[in-house]
Amino acid sequence: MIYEAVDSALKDAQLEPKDIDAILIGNMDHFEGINFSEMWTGVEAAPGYLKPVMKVATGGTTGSSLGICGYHYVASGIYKNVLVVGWEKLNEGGATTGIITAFDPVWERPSLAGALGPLALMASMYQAKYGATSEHAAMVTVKNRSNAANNPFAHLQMPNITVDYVLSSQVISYPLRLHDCCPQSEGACAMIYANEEEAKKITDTPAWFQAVETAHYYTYGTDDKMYDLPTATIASKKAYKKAGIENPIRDLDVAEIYEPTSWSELAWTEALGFAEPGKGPVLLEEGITQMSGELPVNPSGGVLSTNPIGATALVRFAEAAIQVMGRGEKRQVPDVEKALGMGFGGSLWTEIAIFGKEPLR
Amino acid sequence: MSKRKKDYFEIKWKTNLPYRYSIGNLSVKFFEELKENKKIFGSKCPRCGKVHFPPRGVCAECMVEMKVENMIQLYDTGTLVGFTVINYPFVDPQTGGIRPFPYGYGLFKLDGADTYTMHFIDETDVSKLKVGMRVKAVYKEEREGNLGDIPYFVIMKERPKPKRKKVEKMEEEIDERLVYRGRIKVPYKHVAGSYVEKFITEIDKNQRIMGTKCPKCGKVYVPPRMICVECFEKMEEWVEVDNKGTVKGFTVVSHSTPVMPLEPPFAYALITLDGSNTEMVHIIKETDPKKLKEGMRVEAVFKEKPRKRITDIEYFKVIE
Amino acid sequence: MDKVAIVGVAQTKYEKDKIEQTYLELVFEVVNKLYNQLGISNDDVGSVITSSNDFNDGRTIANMAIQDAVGSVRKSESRVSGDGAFAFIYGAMRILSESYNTVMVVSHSKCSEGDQYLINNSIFDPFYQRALGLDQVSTAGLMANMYMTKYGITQTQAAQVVVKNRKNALNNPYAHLQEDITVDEVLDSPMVAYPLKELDLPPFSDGAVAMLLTNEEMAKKFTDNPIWFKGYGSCTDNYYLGNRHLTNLIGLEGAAKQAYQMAGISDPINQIDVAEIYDAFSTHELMGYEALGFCDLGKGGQFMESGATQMDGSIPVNPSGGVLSSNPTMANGLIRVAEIALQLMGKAGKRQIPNAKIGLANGMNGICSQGNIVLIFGGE
Repeated sequence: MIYEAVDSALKDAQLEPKDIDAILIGNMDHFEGINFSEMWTGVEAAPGYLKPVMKVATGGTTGSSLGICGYHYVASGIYKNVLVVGWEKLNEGGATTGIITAFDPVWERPSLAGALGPLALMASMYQAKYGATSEHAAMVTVKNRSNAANNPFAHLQMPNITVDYVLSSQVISYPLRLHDCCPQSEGACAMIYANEEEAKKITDTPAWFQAVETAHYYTYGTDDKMYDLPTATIASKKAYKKAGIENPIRDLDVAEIYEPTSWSELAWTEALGFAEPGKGPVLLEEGITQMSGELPVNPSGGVLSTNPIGATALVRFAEAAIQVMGRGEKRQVPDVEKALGMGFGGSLWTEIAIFGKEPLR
Repeated sequence: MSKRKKDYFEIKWKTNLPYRYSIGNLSVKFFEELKENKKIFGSKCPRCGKVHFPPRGVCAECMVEMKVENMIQLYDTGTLVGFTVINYPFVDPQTGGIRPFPYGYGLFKLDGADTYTMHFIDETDVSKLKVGMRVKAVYKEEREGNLGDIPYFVIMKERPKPKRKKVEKMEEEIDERLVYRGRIKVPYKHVAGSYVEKFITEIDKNQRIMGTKCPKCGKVYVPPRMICVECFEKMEEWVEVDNKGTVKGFTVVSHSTPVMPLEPPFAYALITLDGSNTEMVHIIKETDPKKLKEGMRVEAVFKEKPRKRITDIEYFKVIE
Repeated sequence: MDKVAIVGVAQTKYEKDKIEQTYLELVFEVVNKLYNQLGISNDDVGSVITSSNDFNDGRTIANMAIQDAVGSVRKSESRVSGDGAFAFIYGAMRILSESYNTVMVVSHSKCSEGDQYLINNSIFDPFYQRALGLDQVSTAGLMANMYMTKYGITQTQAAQVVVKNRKNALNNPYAHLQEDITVDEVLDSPMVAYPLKELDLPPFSDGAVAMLLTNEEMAKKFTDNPIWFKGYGSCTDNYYLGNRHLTNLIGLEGAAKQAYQMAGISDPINQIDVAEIYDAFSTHELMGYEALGFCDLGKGGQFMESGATQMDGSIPVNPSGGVLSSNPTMANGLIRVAEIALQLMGKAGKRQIPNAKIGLANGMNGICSQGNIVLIFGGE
């Protein structure tokens, strides 16, 4: 699986395995039950033999932490290019089970139900505070899973999905219905980064990193009320400043955000500054985040369509980069100059990357 | 949890890792007060005054230590700020089995604390739950000094009691109050892929050992793999190798661990089977290192009842 | 090359069982120590890189448990799942990419909380290796036996490494095992994985280490004596034991070559004043001498006997006592870096090598040097 992604990336960039300077792997050890999984996969599934191999693993943000680490690897000047691979095979273990082990064994594990439990709590609080409805949430799923039909890589592609279909699915953790939640996927994503000189040799249309920001929060994710995502606000503000973005709806052309549940998109588009607090549903009602809207969100189908945890956040970066490179084919948004990719995970952490057609000077 | 459509070749591995988690002195005090006095304590930052529940050793905002003397009593009532009813099956890593569901689960602020907490709520009907409701802790009559002493908040029906793990035999005396003996028990099903499948199936059915050959460098890999590590090329040609081979290196181990297939002492060895270009790591049934030497000839001994594992070659024996 | 400096390091005492401390408290101890030492607060730290291992801590996203202790609330913190020395280089890269002026790097491990053999065993793939019950100790035995057989290294030469390191540890107030033992005592200890005996192997320890990295501009603000990052190399050997090179550390060799080239070192013995290398077991250090170019292949044993790596030798190795004396597994690589920093700052107390100007540290990932990193530092 990983070889497939790596081989495809190498061929895409027309590079030989020996041309790669370093390999970065992202994966959560406990999800597949393999300790130091990069020592196995970095060498047997990627051309890591006799090269530097390192792993960055931060839960849901693994892909974005990895993506950001890759940026520093090349921006530091030490390496001219780096191969970044995120992957997960969730059906071998079980995401919920693995996620439970991320929390405190005494205080949190006995009651915690993986990621869906806290996400359901967040949704229930958001609903109580702002009065958003299950219909609003269902509109997110409909948008994203029908977008996914344009994305050959997406796991769940549902071109004909309707709001009623979502509302008819079982409530698995109030207020989350089955179709409000992301699937448990398997897959790998490989990206090749290069510095300015090298990039010119490989392609005429690279996507440049203009800003990378991370914000973390307390060890106990529940320390604060969880109806919004303060780290998304903190990280995005810093990233926007660096990338010269004053008004995200106007200045960004497309956003790939991390929405593990449909409700999350409602709340976190507000945290990212796309809408005022409580006005997330308006973005859907007015079609602003649809493919045809002012700021399309998740043309790839997002996390609601595909979620191999170690790769997911990296896929957001990859999809944002694809949009800037103009290679989105059926899911391409026209005229993309700046794109945003977001990662989420851990105890409410957020990571943001902004990509642009030109590097910042 | 999804079910596989086809019957894929899977290698199952049940993880059962014991962990002796240190809980820290604040938690020790918390559970003491809970058990003896039915009191709930949090920790207050000496600098900013923020009251944390659960009690913990560091205030994140101030980067200041909180000690046992910084603990203050909280009320056992609070306000519900969020709730859900978990209604899907998943494996609980503490037990390795499915956690009973549905169960109610909420986020609330204990009166006296500045942080929020989550715990079980004794209600599975969402229509009866509302943000803003008041909740109260329920205590077990016979308390043991762990979080199960507060099985849930709000009022109750009979529900499955959390199982207290039996304290295992300890090698040395430690103060058990300082730790929580937990486990990570997860049953994994590793999809092995067609290469492992063919390798193991040939061993199980035909007692034949096979390898793959790289089209570029010609190296024969046993055990077989898809990609040649040197050339990064896909290998599709299969070659049969002999059951006999030469020892390239060995060690004899005497330490015993729960995952060893034989009772130690026994030898691990690198063996090059006749016809292969790589070494295979496996076991030689020999207890005395003096009886082993690099260059010796060994032969595979197959297991009577194969179990779809590398140990279906049970071990190698020395031959003349 | 743009410069990265280490301006301060802090370590906890390494011991068998820090049962009273949670991970949060352990890491806070060392972070607080660093802050106090440098007279800084969380506001002076731009970003944090931590290193830990999920299986070791019994906790997925192990860095989540220690966030509050490293001051990463609302800040950028990332984590390398592996040895602390790799966290160092990632921290250095964050400075070289001009994203941050100061980066704190922290690494921790508590071996007392989990079953180390089961944790090691999980590193092996479930298809061809895990069911054989392999772990770090068995692999070390295999490696040691093949190496010693190929080159005629004796058990006595290997024992000398242990004697040297545990004795050096007597000068290191942080070390776990500090003892003046004899070669005979090592040779008489019970056999664990032939030819390695109990005293050829390291203890299991608990502990943590932290350090602050800055760019060139900020360095003098924190200390008169910054230590400069000069060279880096990283290289990985194969994974499946049958495909690996067990008689020479090819990964370490590759990493060392890259690091030497970056730092402009062509004659390691004469140009390097002190080395902290990862001695996962006695013979491992001998193999390390060869891979790092201190002596020719196969001559590690003789090199040990020559006394060159003793405290008063031409290239002292492991004045801190090395991993054979203190082994909090994930932190080991960063401890090597910290010890070199102390040496070059002249702050190594009784274990100080006089006039140390250039030092080498190395870290290891995976089983027995599959993944390697070599770092070179200079006092100027």
